Amino acid sequence: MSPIRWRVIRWIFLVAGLLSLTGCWDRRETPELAIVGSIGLDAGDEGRVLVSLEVIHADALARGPGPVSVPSKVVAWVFREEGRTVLNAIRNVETRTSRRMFVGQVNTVIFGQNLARQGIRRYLDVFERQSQFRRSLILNVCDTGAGLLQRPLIEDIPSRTLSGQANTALYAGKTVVVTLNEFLRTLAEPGIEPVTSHTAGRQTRDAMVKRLGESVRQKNPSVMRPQPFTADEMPEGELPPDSPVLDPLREAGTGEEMEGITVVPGIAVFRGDRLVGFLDGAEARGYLWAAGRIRGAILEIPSPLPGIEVLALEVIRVQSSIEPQISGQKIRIKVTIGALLEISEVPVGFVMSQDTVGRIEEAANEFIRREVYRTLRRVQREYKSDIYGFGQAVYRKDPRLWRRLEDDWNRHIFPHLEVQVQVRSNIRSSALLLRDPR
Amino acid sequence: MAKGRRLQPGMFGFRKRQRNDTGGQSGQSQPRPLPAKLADSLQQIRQEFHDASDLVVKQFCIGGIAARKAAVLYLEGMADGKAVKEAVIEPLMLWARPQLGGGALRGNLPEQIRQRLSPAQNMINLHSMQEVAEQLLEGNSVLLVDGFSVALGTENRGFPKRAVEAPETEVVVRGPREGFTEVVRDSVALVRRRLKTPGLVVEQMRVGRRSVTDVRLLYLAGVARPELVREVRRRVQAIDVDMAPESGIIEQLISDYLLWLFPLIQSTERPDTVAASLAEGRVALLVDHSPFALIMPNTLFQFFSTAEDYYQQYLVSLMLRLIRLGAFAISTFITAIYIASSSFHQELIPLPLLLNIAASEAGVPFPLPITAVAIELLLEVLREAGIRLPRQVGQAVSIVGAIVLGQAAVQAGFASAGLVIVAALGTIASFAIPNFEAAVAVRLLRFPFILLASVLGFYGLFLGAVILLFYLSSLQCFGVPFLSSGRALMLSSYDPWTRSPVRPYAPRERIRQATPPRRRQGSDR
Amino acid sequence: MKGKELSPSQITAMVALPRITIMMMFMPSITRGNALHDGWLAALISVGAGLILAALAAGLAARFPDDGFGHFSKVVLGRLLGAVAALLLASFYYLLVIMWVRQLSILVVSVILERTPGWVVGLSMLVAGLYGAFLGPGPLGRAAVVLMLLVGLSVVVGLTSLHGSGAMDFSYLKPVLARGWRPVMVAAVSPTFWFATTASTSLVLTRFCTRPQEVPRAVLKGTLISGLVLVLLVAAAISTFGPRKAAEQLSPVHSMARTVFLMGIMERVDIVLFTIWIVAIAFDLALFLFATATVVGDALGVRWRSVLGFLGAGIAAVASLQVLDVFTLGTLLSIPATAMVMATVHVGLVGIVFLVAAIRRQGERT
Repeated sequence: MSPIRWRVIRWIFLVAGLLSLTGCWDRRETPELAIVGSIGLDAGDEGRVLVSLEVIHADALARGPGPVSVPSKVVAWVFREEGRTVLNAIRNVETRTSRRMFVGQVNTVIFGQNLARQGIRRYLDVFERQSQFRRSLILNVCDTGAGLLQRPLIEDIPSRTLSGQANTALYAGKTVVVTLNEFLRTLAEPGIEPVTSHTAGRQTRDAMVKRLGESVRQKNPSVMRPQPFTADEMPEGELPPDSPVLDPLREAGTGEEMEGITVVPGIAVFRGDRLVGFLDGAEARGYLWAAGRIRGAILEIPSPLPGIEVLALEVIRVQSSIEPQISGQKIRIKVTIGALLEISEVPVGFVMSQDTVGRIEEAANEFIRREVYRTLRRVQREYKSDIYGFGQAVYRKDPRLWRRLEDDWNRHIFPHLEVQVQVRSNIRSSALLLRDPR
Repeated sequence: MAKGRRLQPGMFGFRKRQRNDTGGQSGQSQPRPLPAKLADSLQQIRQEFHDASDLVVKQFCIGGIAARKAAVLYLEGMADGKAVKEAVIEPLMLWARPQLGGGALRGNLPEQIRQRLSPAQNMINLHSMQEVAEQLLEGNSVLLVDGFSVALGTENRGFPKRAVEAPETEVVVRGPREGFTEVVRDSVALVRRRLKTPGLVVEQMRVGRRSVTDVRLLYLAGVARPELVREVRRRVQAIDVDMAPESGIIEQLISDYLLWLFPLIQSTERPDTVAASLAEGRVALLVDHSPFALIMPNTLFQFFSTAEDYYQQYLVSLMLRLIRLGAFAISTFITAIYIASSSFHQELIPLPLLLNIAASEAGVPFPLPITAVAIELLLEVLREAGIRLPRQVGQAVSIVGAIVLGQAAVQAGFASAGLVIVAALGTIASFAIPNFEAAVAVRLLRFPFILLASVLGFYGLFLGAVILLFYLSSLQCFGVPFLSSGRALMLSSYDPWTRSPVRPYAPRERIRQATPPRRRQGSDR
Repeated sequence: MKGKELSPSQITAMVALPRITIMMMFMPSITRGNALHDGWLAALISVGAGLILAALAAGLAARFPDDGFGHFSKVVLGRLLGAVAALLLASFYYLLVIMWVRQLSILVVSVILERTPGWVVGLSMLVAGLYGAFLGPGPLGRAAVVLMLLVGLSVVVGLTSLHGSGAMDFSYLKPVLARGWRPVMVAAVSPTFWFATTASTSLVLTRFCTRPQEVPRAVLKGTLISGLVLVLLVAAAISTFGPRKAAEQLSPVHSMARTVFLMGIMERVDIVLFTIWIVAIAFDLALFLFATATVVGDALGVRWRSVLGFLGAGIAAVASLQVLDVFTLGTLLSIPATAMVMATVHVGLVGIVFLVAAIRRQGERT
């Protein structure tokens, strides 16, 4: 009996001693934390990085009867600091806050256009290296700077509006959603260049955004440096202020610019880790077709049928393959796109038949091919960045050849690559209606 | 030491067969013969019982006046006085003289009486003082006849006892409502009725120097491993205590370990559970004065099975078992998981939930682990109070405690709402474990896990779980590993994790025969 | 009968489990090589080679069904040489334990508990391991089966949710042998010896098995299972990160779990899945401490539990006195150095004993 008792007591002492030796190094009570919803990175002064942290006000958003009554309806604050490194900038923010910044819930990182053009690899390192961040966080490039604070539309949490927008735009066939993991992968692998989603928007001057869209002007300017948007500051070549893409940013009727409202119009194209430009609207779709990344879209194709101007086709499923054809020194890329479509909206006068479906398919093929070619031309000539992964396809086909081409692929070979696009679309059905109701 | 003996099945009155073997623990001295003279015997017996006031002595004459003097003794309340009067005294008194015959009074009168009355009364010869005392203590009456040094014990026990009622701790929806009572003979009969085979062996043993508790060892010959039976018998016989009032004491005395977390011996109130366990090759102990039978060896998965599992259809009870397994995990870990995730790994919690947790914890001044331990203790107090109090009050206490106190604690900022919910969930989940003692053990387990989780987060939590796993796998019960799964147990049939379906009549057979399909017995698996 | 308490299936789990969990720490030995896209092929080759080495060890063990290595090495090699061989094997196991504890504490500290000192993690793991080892083979076998289920479940959950979150791109598995066989073979060396190491525990475990003739089959089964998991995980790592990024990860397994994003809830599952794996290493420590203790005990004729006390006390003393920080014992225990030691021990030690045993038997026959 007694040896058993001794053994038990020994173990209890050992464990208790061990536990008393340990403090609670990693313990951090939830109320001690400032929950950061998204992070914006922008170019600061003298090569520094300007970090914006969107801190979510938990008490304002919590549901149910909490012990704390919420006097104001502030849902989030934005804190900004500069630093040579991202982490140091976050620490600098903490000198002004009563709580530690908690970045474990960050699901979006927004890069300002200026910073993105300088290269973002060195700023991405922290997100990959620190285990607090998720590898699944979504990267985004905003053309007007990353100090952006969303006005919460539908969502409670401002930054969730942004990630939500990217997701809906993905299924509308307008953009891609690129996670940190995927960006880093494409960055590291030769023969393919990364893209991200592109956010366009106006920068809000508010440091505090109230629920229900009501905003309070920031009293203390030190909390943030407002960066009012002006047309002059817009980078050249992209999105002129009167671009129709930005239409949703204007208050309906008045034409006045709304603050804190963004749209996701397309994708941002990188060469290496540097932003080289954007592809918006149909141009973005031109990329999505070829890369096989389209999740759904509505195509407005000019009708091949007499008396009908335009048809709307819904994209159900798309499969694409990139097949390099190597003969000697000559490389030709063959892109095959198979699209499953559905007739979803037609003006009156349409009669469905074998013949009409065939003609619509023909028209859709031509439409898609033209979109792909247009984007391809721009990417090849202007951006010179192999975002399609043609190089990788060559590598898979012939690794030895690729090793010779690798160094000047982007600069000399890719821009002059002959690409043949073949589209085979297939109309599955005409939704619920069989023929014209007449 | 008394040696257990195999009994003939179907024989109810096996008391007397054991008579010579028992009594080893109550009196080790030489048997004292009874004196022939009635007065001497009575005086000696009174002395033996220290003139106990509940010792009833009724003197009378056999065959009326001037016949042979005799006396009947019994302990008041232990034997049925009315039965003694009707079955022993009256027939003897009314014996007609001619019936007795002239020489009868000089012949072996007790033997005659025994032969005449035994068919109805089950009388046995007693030769010593110790045997007489034992009979009296068992609640039987003793007949002494003047001039003979032989007494006759008559079985007419009449002590107060409970009827067979539905077991309170193991309630089933579908299944028999009978539970064991405090009288071991009735309990044995309840098992016997479910196993109508001569192979059911019932051995009797006596435990306790003063309590002389009747302990019955039950097993199925040819099914239970002989080593197991031998080991159980050895351990019960080795018990040397004064008092053994309940099977819980026996359980502790024959257990493998001094301290244990989980009950290594299953206790149950249900005869059908005992019968099924015996059929699986286990061994059961029934203890007098205790409605709880002990079943051994036990394994961890036994906690998650109930008798009812085998009465319901396969899919339902499979799901129920898995739910109980889940409840076990929830009850053990959920508070610790809450602490680990809300004070170490907030990135694990979905954002909307995290915001709620942050808001509700913001008003609580105490560190989370301290609040957690306090809440858990509070729940334990409430549970204990609810058990001890009368049923009507008990219910009120638990409702008041759970709802009012929890709500008030949250509103007053003593604890966060999330913590109260989680702790309550853990406690409720522990009630889903059918075995009451296992449920208590699980609740006890939560505290070390809370401690580990609040120091090392998930790492500490899982490390504790692995240590617990090592501990569980080191446990053995009568040489059978506590964590053993299935065949290694060498039991005849046993399904640890889930239960296997009961095979119905083969379809082909069903078509061939016009008879309606029959199902096998539910417990036959 | 005494001590014969392991079933062959438990031995399968005991062989497979260490190999699977150790992957978390030493998978980079494959992904970091030059094999790039073909890393999974290297894993596949290592399974094949590992099976041969495992068969060697298990075959040797099955030849002496009632003896541990410490006994039969003396029978085969003679008293002195046999004892030396046994002590060499034991010290190899002990070295592994120390290396795991160190590697593990680094991993935990950099991945889950950033501010906790490494020695806390290492020591707590060691205590758990010592406790497990102290309980002996039977409890270890039963614990192995349960842990195997848990770890297997976490592999399945992790891989399916990773696939479900669309993080994998299987086209990265494509270039088969773009750089020829050489880098693939080089990458396959280290994992091969890990397979051999875990299989070599059968030298210790066989005598505790109820059916020793079935041990070789059980060992090969365990090696095969863990091999499949290795191939699966390496393939998953390459297709998730791309071969170049995979090479940068401290623990590709953890990074994969960190990438999971499913339905807004399954995020950061690494904290749960990865911790389960990490803590399962406590079993490896227990097994190898037990193996060390029994081999030393057999070789020197001491009771193994008292040897175990010394082993634990050794690590604890060194750690607490801070003469030498066991948990940051970097250069001595680097990965290539270990690979070399492993190769020596397996091909050298076990191989020699096997050969001598085979030759002797041949001699007896003629």
